[in-house]
Amino acid sequence: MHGPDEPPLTPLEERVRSVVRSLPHVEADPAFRNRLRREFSTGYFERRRRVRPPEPKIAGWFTWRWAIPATAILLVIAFGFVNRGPDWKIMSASGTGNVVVNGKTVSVSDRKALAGGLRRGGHISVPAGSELTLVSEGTLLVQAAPGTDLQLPTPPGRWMAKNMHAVVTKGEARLLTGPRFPGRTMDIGTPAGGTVITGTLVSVVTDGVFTCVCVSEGTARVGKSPTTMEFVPAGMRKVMWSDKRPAVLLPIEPEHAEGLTTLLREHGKDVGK
Amino acid sequence: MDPTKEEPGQGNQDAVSIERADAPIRGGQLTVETLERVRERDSHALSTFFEFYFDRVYGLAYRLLGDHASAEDVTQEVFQKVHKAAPQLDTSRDPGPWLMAITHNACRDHWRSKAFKLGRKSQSLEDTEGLVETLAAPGEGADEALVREEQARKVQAAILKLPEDLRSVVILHDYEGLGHEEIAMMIGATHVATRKRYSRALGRLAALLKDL
Repeated sequence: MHGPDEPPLTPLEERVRSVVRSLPHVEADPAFRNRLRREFSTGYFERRRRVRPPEPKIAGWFTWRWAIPATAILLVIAFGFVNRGPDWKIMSASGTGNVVVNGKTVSVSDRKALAGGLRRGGHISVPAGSELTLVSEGTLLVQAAPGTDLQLPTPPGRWMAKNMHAVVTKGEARLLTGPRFPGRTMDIGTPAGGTVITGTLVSVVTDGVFTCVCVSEGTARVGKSPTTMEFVPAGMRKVMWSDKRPAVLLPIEPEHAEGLTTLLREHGKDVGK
Repeated sequence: MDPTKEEPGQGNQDAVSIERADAPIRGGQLTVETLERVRERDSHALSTFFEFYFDRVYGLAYRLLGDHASAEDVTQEVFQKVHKAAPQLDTSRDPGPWLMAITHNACRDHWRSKAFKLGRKSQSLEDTEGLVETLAAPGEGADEALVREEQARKVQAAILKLPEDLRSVVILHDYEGLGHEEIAMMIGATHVATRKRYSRALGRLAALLKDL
């Protein structure tokens, strides 16, 4: 059926056409041919079972079925990173001796090793005669007085997970909130009670038997349990015991007031105050 | 009528002139009577019909798709469709063009399928093994058969490098022997467009097969 209407061809195209026309007869697998003839003549077609060549790994892996959840996971991870608040930084480390940071003993004078051991939610133990001041930029400054055991809070997220939790097991922790803190809360647990702060300058002192929460600026909710918390105004302190003795509200002691005032004076700018 | 819709019995009526019930179709192997019995799904008639068209369907599928496994898939699909549509078969026409249209459409669907695209990436064009047996003509030496096999392999590989629309036209025209008018009806293009595609296909093949 090759008509005269075909366009003029070059010699090479003529040759190509002739070899295409002379392509050999294609022989099918006799078993396939016989089976299909039987099926066609009877009308009962079996589902074909044959092994397909293995799919290329990259192309096979990258299908929309996997791409969508993978993208969602990546977005969640990316959001988690973007949402993270600033990490803890060491503002000052004074005194002598060794600080235990997450179970690792580090000389208090070795700032590099100290910074390397710090992590979100980590535990630090400051020996008597040393003092450690940490800051999460613009949000919170924590000062661990000599002889303090403290579980650092995770810095609050920018949009989600804004609440922080810290634990003071022993000693004195002074806390100063920064300009990025409003809208966030932080609860601090001790063996004899806890406090919730929403923006203030406080110190939490405990020896395991009693806990004293001294409020220098702002207010804090303080109580032995979440249901018995009460507001403690600036200039006051609340003392709680781990036994059944009732909590008392007293004026802040000069010693603790001095410590907090010094903290604000020396490190207020570090947290943006 | 949409020529791409695979109407049963669609084809060039002039290609086969059927005046008597026992008039032969294509070399006297298929008669109108056989086609009438195909319409009734008579087992023997279906078997005759199958033997008459199987090689054309399989050959076209293989030349368009380039591997036996895909050609088997398509061939089975074509004969399933034919069996389903058998009662509507137009016995006054040659069913050949209709089958070629079904085969072409099935190939087009197949090579557009994800599985085929992935399969092609991992498959070489070595699926012409065994051609020595099919190529070697009686009395032909092994060397000559090998040369022909190599040539056929190169041509098939070059054809598979063509875009689908060009590949279809060159195979339907030169391998199947269909005219441009029939091909145009089959692929749903104009006669002029089909001719242009054919010219482009030959030009590209010539470029690919310079050292042939």
